Amino acid sequence: MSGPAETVGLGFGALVLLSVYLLSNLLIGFFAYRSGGTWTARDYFLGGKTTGALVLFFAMLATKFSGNTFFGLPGQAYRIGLMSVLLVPFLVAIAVGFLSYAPRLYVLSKKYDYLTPADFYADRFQSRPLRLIVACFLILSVIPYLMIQATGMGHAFVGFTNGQYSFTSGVVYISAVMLAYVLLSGWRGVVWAEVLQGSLLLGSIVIAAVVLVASEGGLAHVIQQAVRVAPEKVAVVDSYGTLTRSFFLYALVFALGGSMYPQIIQSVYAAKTEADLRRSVVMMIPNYILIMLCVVLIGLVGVVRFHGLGTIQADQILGLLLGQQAESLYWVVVLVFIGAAAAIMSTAAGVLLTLSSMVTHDLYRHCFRLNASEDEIARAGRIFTVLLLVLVMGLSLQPMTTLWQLTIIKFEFLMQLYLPLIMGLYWPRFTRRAAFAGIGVGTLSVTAMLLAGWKQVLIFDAGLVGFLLNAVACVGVALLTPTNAAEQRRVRERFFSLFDRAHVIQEKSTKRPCLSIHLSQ
Amino acid sequence: MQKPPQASLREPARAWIWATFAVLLFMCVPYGFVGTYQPLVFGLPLWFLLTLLGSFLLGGFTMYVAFRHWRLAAFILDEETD
Repeated sequence: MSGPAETVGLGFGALVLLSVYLLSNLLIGFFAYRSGGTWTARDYFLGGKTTGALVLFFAMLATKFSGNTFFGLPGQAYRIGLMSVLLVPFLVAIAVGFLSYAPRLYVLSKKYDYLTPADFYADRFQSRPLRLIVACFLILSVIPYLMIQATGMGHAFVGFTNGQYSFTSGVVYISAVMLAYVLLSGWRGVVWAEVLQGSLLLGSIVIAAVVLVASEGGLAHVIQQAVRVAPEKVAVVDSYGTLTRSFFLYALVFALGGSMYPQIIQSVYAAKTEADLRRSVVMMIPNYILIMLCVVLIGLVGVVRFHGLGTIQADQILGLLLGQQAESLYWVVVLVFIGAAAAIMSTAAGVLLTLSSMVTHDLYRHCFRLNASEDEIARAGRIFTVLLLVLVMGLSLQPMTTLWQLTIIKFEFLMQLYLPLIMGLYWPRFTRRAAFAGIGVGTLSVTAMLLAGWKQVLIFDAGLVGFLLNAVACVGVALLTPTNAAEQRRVRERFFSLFDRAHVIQEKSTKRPCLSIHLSQ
Repeated sequence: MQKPPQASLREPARAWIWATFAVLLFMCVPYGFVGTYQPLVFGLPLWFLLTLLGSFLLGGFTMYVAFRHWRLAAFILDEETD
């Protein structure tokens, strides 16, 4: 087969099941609301910082794997073929990036009660302008992510129903339900719903991959056919430069950019204990690998069945593949349809709440209402939640570029916040001025390259060029400019003395047994 | 002063851990098979199998680091360690 023309719609049964699923989310939201504690900012945005390992795992899974898992990533796997297996280490690299900052950030967030990612930057560098810059930066970087979800809702309806339901109706229908439970119960409702959504996501993508590969006679047969119809999509790319730029260095982009999602940082803040956070990360990794392998297999079956799809059409490859078998595998198709809706909703709800927290806490509270009560902040948070969703829905009604491109552009900006975070956590000499310099230089260079249409310098993409210049600016300014004694004293007392004292406690506790042995002798 | 926890303090910020991450990531990229899909092993390209192996090792090592080299909060906050 060579075209997407033979797809069919899902009919009334699918809509009924989708409505049951949506109703379940509303019920979960209602029970989360009834469980209490949604009326202060800390509760509404972070569930009172009492999220356990399993719920946190599902929250991270469902937030990380979005509509992109069903649309953008299989589309990318279709475009590049078997080489997309490198998406697996890319995703693991996000967990690696996370490990670089989470241990210290978790401790500080508990000690100083951080609510948003910008709280750390503002506290560590004692700067309200830096809070505003970081918050605006994250808000602008994450809005495209929410747009991806809204676009995904439209794609889901168009792709799975063969145009029976419009792009706009998909966006509006799913958004309305999501908004209801987010407003009702905040973080608690969002993460409880994510347990259901994450399970559906995981189950449906695995079943979709298994069914599609099995229908082609197994993995080896799929690869044989792919070799026959498109050998270039089974082979490794034929240039070391491309291999390094598009695969090795992209893993770095994923590690640095993907780990800087504000909702991932907020999951550090929301964890009940360090052990819960650690366990949730350990549970995430096998699932990263499993889901990405499924995505690769789906793309590869697409290579075998469809030739020459355009970039926007390629993003609908899973819908097109399942649409071909909608009659014989009706309930599988419906399950995948609902899994895609769950993936989109979970990410969108998480991102919406994070966005709302940043707008409310970092902009509204710290710019206009410094003395606002917790209740007022939670109320304002709900109002901003509605406004942000309406804004994003409006922006996303016209698909503008491929989902993959939106993902990469977002990572390239997000990664510019990584160095000030890491250096702020591990290097006492790192100053406010150095943080400003790094973020400024990194962001301006990425923006300039994107506006000028320079895709790369040597083998480095815009994000990495910005990151390298960011590093030079951070280190250069920190080393070459004189330090302020008061700032240094405060930084050491408030941040580094905590970790230094912990090492002292550790040393004493490890020396004690030796001492007792010595005495007994 | 708070009571010292039983487990020892550990942070992932160690040079050997990050060097291992870099090596494992490098292993995932099929530099030895540029421009080809051969040889095939059980019908699958060898480069694909090696990349998968590298990914599993990278994932396994990341889990190991998260589980064994991250013990900090119990030494600073009032938290139990496991």
